[in-house]
This record gives sequence, C-alpha cells and structure tokens, in this order.
Amino acid sequence: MSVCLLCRRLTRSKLDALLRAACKLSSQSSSARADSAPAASTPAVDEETVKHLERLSLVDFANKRGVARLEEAIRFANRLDEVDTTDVEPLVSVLEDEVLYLREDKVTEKNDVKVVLSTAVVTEEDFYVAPPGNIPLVVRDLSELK
Amino acid sequence: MLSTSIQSVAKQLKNSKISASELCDASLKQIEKTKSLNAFITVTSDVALKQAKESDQRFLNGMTRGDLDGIPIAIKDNFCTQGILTSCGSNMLSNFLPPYDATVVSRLRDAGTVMVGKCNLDEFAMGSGTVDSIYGPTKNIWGSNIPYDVTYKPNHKMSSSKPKVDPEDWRIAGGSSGGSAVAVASGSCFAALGSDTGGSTRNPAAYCGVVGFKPSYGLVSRHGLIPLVNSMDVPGIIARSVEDVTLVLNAIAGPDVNDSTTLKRKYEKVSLDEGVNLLGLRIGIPKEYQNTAIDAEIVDILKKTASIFKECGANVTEVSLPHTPYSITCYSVLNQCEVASNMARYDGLRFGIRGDVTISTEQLYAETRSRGFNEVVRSRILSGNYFLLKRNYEKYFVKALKVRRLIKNDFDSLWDSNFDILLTPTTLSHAPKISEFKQYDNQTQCVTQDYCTQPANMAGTYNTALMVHDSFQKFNNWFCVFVLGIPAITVPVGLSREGLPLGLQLMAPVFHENALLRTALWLQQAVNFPQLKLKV
Amino acid sequence: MVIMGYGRCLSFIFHFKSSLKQISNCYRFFSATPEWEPVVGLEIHAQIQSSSKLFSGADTNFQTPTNRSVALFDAAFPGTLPVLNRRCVEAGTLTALALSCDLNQVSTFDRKHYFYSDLPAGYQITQHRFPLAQNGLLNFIVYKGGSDSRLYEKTSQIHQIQLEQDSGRSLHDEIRSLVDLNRAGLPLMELVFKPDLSDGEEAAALVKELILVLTRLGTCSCKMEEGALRVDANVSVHRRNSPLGTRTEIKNIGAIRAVANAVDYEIDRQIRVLQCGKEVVNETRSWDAERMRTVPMRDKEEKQDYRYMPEPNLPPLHLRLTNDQPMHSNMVDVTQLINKVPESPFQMRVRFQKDYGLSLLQAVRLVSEDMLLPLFFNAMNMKQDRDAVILTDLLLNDVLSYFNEDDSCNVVFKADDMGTITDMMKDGVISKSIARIILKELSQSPALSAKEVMEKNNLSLICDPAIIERLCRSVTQENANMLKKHLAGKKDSTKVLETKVWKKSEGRANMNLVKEWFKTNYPFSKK
Repeated sequence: MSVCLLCRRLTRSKLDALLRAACKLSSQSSSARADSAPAASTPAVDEETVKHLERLSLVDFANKRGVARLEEAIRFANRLDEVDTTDVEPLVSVLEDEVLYLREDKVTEKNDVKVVLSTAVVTEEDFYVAPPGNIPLVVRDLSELK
Repeated sequence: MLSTSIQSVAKQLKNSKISASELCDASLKQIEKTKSLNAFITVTSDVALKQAKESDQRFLNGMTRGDLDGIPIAIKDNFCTQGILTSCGSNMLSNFLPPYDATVVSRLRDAGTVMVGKCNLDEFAMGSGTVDSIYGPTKNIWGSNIPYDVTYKPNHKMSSSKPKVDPEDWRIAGGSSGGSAVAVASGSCFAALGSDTGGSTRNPAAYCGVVGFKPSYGLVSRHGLIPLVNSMDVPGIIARSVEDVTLVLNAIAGPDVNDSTTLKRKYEKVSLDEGVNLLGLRIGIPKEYQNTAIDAEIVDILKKTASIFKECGANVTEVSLPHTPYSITCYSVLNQCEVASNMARYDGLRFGIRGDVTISTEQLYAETRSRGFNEVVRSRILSGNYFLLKRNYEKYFVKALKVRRLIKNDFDSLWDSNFDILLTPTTLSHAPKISEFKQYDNQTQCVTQDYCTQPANMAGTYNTALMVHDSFQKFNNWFCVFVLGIPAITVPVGLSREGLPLGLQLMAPVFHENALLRTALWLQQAVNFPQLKLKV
Repeated sequence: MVIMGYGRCLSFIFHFKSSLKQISNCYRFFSATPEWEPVVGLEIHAQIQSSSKLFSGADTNFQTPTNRSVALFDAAFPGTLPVLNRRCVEAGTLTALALSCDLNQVSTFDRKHYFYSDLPAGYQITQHRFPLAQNGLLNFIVYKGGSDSRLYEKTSQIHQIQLEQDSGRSLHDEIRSLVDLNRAGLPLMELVFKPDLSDGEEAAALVKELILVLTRLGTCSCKMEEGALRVDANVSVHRRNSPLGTRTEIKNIGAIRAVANAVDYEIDRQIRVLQCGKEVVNETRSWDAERMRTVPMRDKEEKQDYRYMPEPNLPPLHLRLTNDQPMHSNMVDVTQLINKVPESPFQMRVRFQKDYGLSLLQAVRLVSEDMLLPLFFNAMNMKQDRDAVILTDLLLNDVLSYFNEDDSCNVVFKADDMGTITDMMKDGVISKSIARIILKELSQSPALSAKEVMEKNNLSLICDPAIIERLCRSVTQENANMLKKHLAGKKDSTKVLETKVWKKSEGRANMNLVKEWFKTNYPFSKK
C-alpha cells in the first residue's frame, strides 16, 4: 500500500527512471524476486519435455531462447496456485447458458475445386501434396541448453 | 471534410454537395499523404473506386442504402477479404488471398461503404504496439512529423500543447489494431474495423485519440475474423465519435448462421436519440485500477471525469474487484493454450507460405512454421502446449478457468448491486515513445499496456497476455479486471501536458450496448475533445 | 447387401461343409490353451447418414471426385467456424436410445490435437469429456463352430457414444502423400465398447448385430466397403488370475470377416510373443488382409498427448430429455424422437420365439433378413394360427435365395402367397418340392397368385387312391424285373419303385399313400 502512495507522488520522469531500473534488474537476473511479491515456484522443464513439446508444436523453438520464454511463462502461470478455488466450477464458456445452434441438414456449400486449391502453393491433379507419411521429427541435440 | 462525422458527410452526399467518388479520392490522397505512418498494409484503390462509383449510381437513382453509403472505411488485416491479401501481419499468410469475405466485411459492403484498405497490426494480433508486424511498425499520427492542427470546437481554438516531434523516436500507435486507429485518427477513413482480444481495439484508440468500441461477445459475427483466441476475440469498431461507432455497429451486429457463438436473438439497433439519464445512474470505479504504475495525469483525468458525472447527477462510487491481481495470469494461460490450438492449422499444405522440405511431413511443418511465425507466436504455441499436456491440464488450464469464474463472480456482484456502468482508465499513460516501448521484452510491454483493457475481454477469453517479470510486479500492482464478454468503450477525454490523447474506459453488463453507448455519448459531449486535422 | 451377409453367413455354416472346417483349422491355437484369457474391446466409427457434413454444408456423397466436396471449413481455412448439423444430433440420439444408453442433457465438444496431413486443422473436433451418451449395451448372438458348436447370447457394454469429425484421406507413396479432403468433416458416431469380449467370433457377431440395429434405424448405411463403418479392436491377453496384459490397437478394419480374423490373429500373436518370454508392445497395428496378419502402423516411440481442449466455437449442446423441460428451437426433442426407435433385433428375436414358437436359430436367422420380415409379418397377420415354423423355413431356405441372387431387386413375392403355400404344406396338399416349383413360377410371373399357379399347372398333391393305384401299378409293370427280385426277397426295391412313382407323377404323388400302397401290396419279406 505504502509503495502505491509513494509511487503516485513521483513525477512521470522519475517513474520512467524507476521502470527502466526495474527493467535492468529483471534482465540481470530473471530469478530475482521482490520480497513483497509472492514467490512463484521455479519451473523445471527437462530436456525430455522440451523435445516432446517441440514435436507437439513443430515451431523449431526448442532452443535456449524458446526454453527461457517457456520457463518464464510457467513461472508466471504458477501464481495461480495462490488462489483458493475449492468448490469453484470452471467457467469454460461465457455462453454456458446458451443453447447451441443447430442447422438444417442441407448442402449449402459447393466449391469449385479450383477455389479450394487456389491458395495452396503445391498441388497435383486436384490433390494437396505432402511429403511422405509421418516420419518422426529429428529434434536437435539440446545439450547446448545446459 | 475528412475529419467530420459520418452523419454530416452523409448529408453532403445526399445533397450532392460531394460525390462518393470524390470522397473516395480524398481518402486515397490522405492515405498517400500519411504513408510514412504505415497504417496500411494494402491500399485497395481499385476496389474502392469501383465501390464509390456504384455508390454514386445509387445516389443518382435515389436507391441509397443508408447513412453509410459511400463512406470510406478500413479493415484490419486479420479480417478475410475475398481475393485481397489478408496477411495478419505475418509471413505465414503473406501470400494469402482468401476465397471468401468475413461476415462483417460483407455487411459493411452491403451497407454501401467503400473499402480503402487493409490496416496494419501486430502479427496475428499478438501485441499492444503494432510494432510486431512483418510490414513494419505503425506510427502514431500524434507526435509525428506530419503537420497537423489540433483545434477545439466550436470556436476552433488551437490546442496549446504540442508534443515534441522526434522522427527517430516516434510515438507508438498501440495495438494490436494500431493501423486501424491511425487510419481513423489521420482522417484516411471515417471508421475502421479492429479486433479486440486483450484491449486490442481500445488501447490504440486511446493512444490515437479516437473512440474504440468492443461489443459484447456474441453480438457480432467472427466468421472470417482470423482468430487469435476464439473465446475472446470480438470485432472492434474505431471511429472519431460515438455516433459513428454506433452507425457501424448497427450495420454489422446481429446473428450469423456461420458463427455458432453469435446469439441467435434478433438484434435491436442501438439508438442514441434518447440520450442517457444521468440522475441515479450508478457508476463504479474499481479501486484496483489505482495502480502505482499509472501515470498521474490519467488518475487526474479519471478523477475529473468522475466529478463531471457526479455533478450531473450520477452516483459515482468506488468499488472492488478483488480477484483482479490474478486476471492477467489466468488470462495468459488460457490465451496461450488457445493460440497453440488455433495455430495448428498453419502447415503450408493448403494456404499460406510453404517450406521446401520434402523428406517428411513433420519437418515440412516445422520449417514452414518457424519461417512463418515470429518468436512471440512460436513461444506462445510452445507454452500453450505445455499447459495443455495431460499432466498439466488440471493444474493450469482448469485452474485458470476456475479463477475466471471467481472473477466473473466479482463482476456479477457489482451488476447485481445495480451498478450500471464501470469507469476505468484505458491505458497507463499517453502513447509511449518507441524507445520506451522497446526497452521491455515484448512480454512485459503487453502486460503494461493491457492491464486496464484486458478485463473487457475476459468474458471467456484469454488475453494474449504475456508473462510479467517479477520485478515489475514489485513496482506495479497489476490488477486486471476480468470482464466476461461485456461491452467496453474508450472515449478520448483530454490531452496530456505533452499534448497527447488520454482516454477513459466505460463498461456495462453484457448486451447493454444501449446504456453503454448512450453514456459514452454523454461523456464525449461533456469533455469536448479537440479535433486533429492534417494541415493542407 | 451387408445385412444379407449375416444370414448368408449363418446359413452356410448351417449347411456345414468345408467352410466351417476352414475357419476352425486356422484359429484353433489359442482356444486350445485355457491358461490364456484374451480381452477384446471394440471402438466402432459409424458414418452418420446425412446430406451434409457434421460442421459444414458440404455434401457427403461417396462418389465425388477429388476435393470437390470440401467446404472452406473442412480445409481449415483461417476464420471459418463449425456449425452443428441437427440431423447428426438426431442420429446420434436415436442410436443412443436404441442401444439403451443414458443421454447427457448437456454435452460439449473438444479438440483432439495431433499433426497429420489429412487433418487440416491440426485437431479433430470430438466429444471427449462430456459426450452425447454413456452406459449402454448391445445384446447379440454368437455362433461358435467346431466339435462342440454352440449358439449363445452375449452382451457388450457401451462406455460412450460421441459425435466427431472424420479426417480426409491420403494416398502414400515413397516420395509424397496426396491428400483428398472429401471425407474431412464427415459426421461420425464413435461407439466405444468396454473390453468385455473374448475372441474374434464375438467381435464379428457384435459388429453384425450393430449393423442390423443401425441400418434399421437409418442412422448409418453400414457399407463397410465404402468406409461407412470402421472397426478398431483393442486386444490384450493375460494369464488366468493375472492382471490385464498390455494392449494393442488394430485400426480401421473394414470387413466383418476381417474383424474375426484380425482379432484372432492378434490374440494368437500376443500369446506367442509372451510364450517366448518377450513383451507385448503397446502400439497401433493394422490388418493386412492379403497376408492375413496384423502389422505395426506407427512409430513405436511416438508418445501422443492429444491435449484435449474444449472447442471454444461451440457452446454446449442441449437435449430436451423430459416433458417438463422447456422446449427451444435449437434443441433436439428426445421425448418425440423416442417414438422413432424401431423394435430392436434382440426384442424381435425374443418375440419370434415367444409369440411365434420359432427356434432360437430360426429367430436369429430371420431377424437379419430385411426382405423376408415384411413377408413373415404380413403372412402371419393375415392368419393368426398359421404355422410360423413352416413359413419361416420356407422363407429362409427357399425364398431367400431368390433375393440373394437377384441384384437388381426385381423379384417380388406376395405375403398372401407365402401364407397360402405354408397352409397347403401344413395340410399336406403339397409337398416341399411342389412348393419350390410354385415359388419358381411366381418369381417369373409375379402377377399370378399361388392358387392360380397351382391350378394352371395342376400341381396339387395326388391323394386320390384310384390314381395312386394306377400310378403304382404302371410303375410295377414297367419295372417287372425289379419287382421279381423284391418278391424273391433278394432286394428291398420299394424305395426305388416309390421314387419312380414320384418321378412319374412329376413330384405330385402323396408319398405317404404311395408308401402305404407298396407296404400293403408288396411287403418285403426276406427269404
């Protein structure tokens, strides 16, 4: 609370300076944590999980930068543990009380195959083209992360 | 003429003082003049001129389609426009010519509008600066080196404060609908469509001194809006006045059989004629917004606005939304999960760019996606998949859904105690300089900008919120109000000392567009925000 | 055609012969080792019979050329959204009712994520957590061949029924896959059965019964050759009194016989693996019909986490289950739909035995013959005390073959005629062979009635003693030598002579009377 009041009295430029300082702090050590802020647990993402995630995501981001961002995201998400949600019903859809619309069983969309294929870079005789089968991805060696 | 309201220009069209083609011409010239702001990805001059001609024909025959007939508008580049590049600011869709129109696009066309271009945005609407687009950043017209005047009506008194111009360190437009906001603010069009997932329409509107409106989730069709987060996205409307916003809303709102998340109840057009009765209007100001990181000027203007409401008979009280400290976290989890899912379709086989790999499908996908998506997108996909893993689902996804319920309960208790409107800041400050914005990792930028506007999107949507560095949390008590698909609007209320726009946000219960827009109109009339006009 | 398969199958088994031996020879291994207990559970994908797809308005025709039944949503074009087809909900609901399931008043859709070239969105929309229906069952009859053949009733429990999208199809070769999305988005009902079966015959029998139920309901064509019904089988084995073994999944079995073969092969394979001291790997396999074996389908190392997530573009699906629930235009009214559920094959079999006195076997066979049922019921309704057993026998063993051979469905029989023939056989007016002649005549001249054919061709049984006398006498006269031998006590030739009388009378002589005559006039006495 007192921190709030203090900050409010600061002028804009001083506030900017504070923010910049905060930024420096954060970039120096991402695990630095204020005493007043509740501690979120440090996430441990092992190599196995990273490889697995990469195979599920296929974004070629199982590298240092990617893992750093992932860990940051997890750390932030862990803060949810602080909220007591005993006996609370998850809110899955804001439309949970609405009744799903049903359409009549009619053919309403007849597309020219040329239209459907118009946006594909590679096609072959009215087919979409993909490389052979589903050969498992070879994920690069992640030892550089250590 | 380009800075006037839709209604007044519609009168001129009707009285043949100008033609739609002339209006269109003027718009296109304005776009050319303001090219350096980079508000547009594609200028659709051919289409626009054709549509303008058709509009002229209708005026000749006396068969016009209403006040929007012949009016130049712009569309954010994540709405599908048939045969016209729809890129989402991303390399992935840099070759995408959709084979269909978004519902809101075709409704606007049916209303007779003239589409002058597709606007720039943060890649896939992830961001709050419109700096993360492959087409380059969009610059705010305010504080730019394009000469303009700022004058107060009705006596055309010039504004005394003018921001310092530094062409190297320009002001950001906000995001992710920055292009749309700048297009409207600079007079290149009369209204523009944005999208609002985490404040993406209201944030840039506030920075650019225009009105930004996020309708209730379920009111406006998302068919053809390339989704970021399906449970949160809403087509947003940006215009220079509440009246203009309302005109556009009435043209696009209403059930759509192509979108199962639109309510299938008949849409009753919003009418501003009756105005709002302030006597007894209960306005709440959530105290959690009184955040240390908020600029004093915003707090000041918020207080002043509260007083204006009070003086005119409204009942203004401080309220509390206690779970707001966790809204961003909740939001970030759900957002990243949806992103991971929604982006799974981008593999290069049927649309979008395609990698060159031919060895295996998975390798092709990985190459396509790493080339097509920037780091923000890719990191969210990775995180989202982490939270959706079987072993993590309960701990993160379901937990976030429960916190969301708690936040909804916070809001419901307010509405149940007969609060009609909530008043909050829209942003923490006026538009930051690009240098200020860039210091932070993209992650923290969004959080800083979004915390005020996030709640309006909460209704079942998860902001593309980013992680916050803990040290920031020390200085800034981040409270975000989670709104549950409720409508929200930002109205420009004044200028900062440096001469940049400041906006405030109003929120109402879901589907209370009438009350919200009427109150917003009242506020707009009460504050007399100055007009920005390009020097000839 | 597929319905015929069941009846045809049983009828050839019942005519014994080589086919039976063939089956029992191949797969007797495991049944000979009682220490192993196989556990089999089926997951069946049934394509809902509808005009348009589950979430889009593209058509569902089987014969469409490549990529011509593809809505933009089916190809996962950005910005397109799912809109649920009412007919599919009705079909799923009807099926759930027919299989005695509990319908969920509210059900939701989920996304099941994995990458595959024929899955455009990178996820399939299905119902994982809150499906349309749960906890049902299917009763069916199993026939087991071999030395101690038996016919018994079996029940398999249904875990859940869910609505989901089908994926597209890809043709693979060494250098690329060609993808056709015509099938992407077709509506499927997945019926997940509990692992309460024990071998291939039970699995095949379940599938046959399900086909009967679904085709009668009209919710699925069940044309396996068109991919309208596909069976996945989960198979494991364990030693008696031991915990369950590791299971494998055999995917996309596309024929009833293949279901039995694949399951039995896999049981046997797993037993052999375990007997060698090795372990059964939890993997997906497919059935190689040419080489009659299961082969591994996917990479063994692949760990799949489908990351099920609620589908945000589809609010919950509501059904109107009771009369005190308010009706909504977007609800499927189950209180009305329940009247459209026809009598189940199970109920019909019970009725056949109880009300008509048919044997279990006759009931089992008759129930699956769509073409015969109207004839049976109408004939029985015309005359309540008609002999149902004779009628059924006539239909199954003589009439059925006409339908089976007739591809163009031109053959028409009238229930009235079936009844008449039955009555005449019952009263001894005609013999079975005459009945066959009449049927043949009717098949070619459908305008005639059985009585007319009888009269036209003078087909009634000859019972007049005078005529019998005359016939027998003339035969004995023509075959004097044989008669001499018979009288001399060297050979009992009456049977041969009786047959000659039968031939001479063109099958019309009442053979009981002929026998009587020979017994009376020329008793055989061995000397």
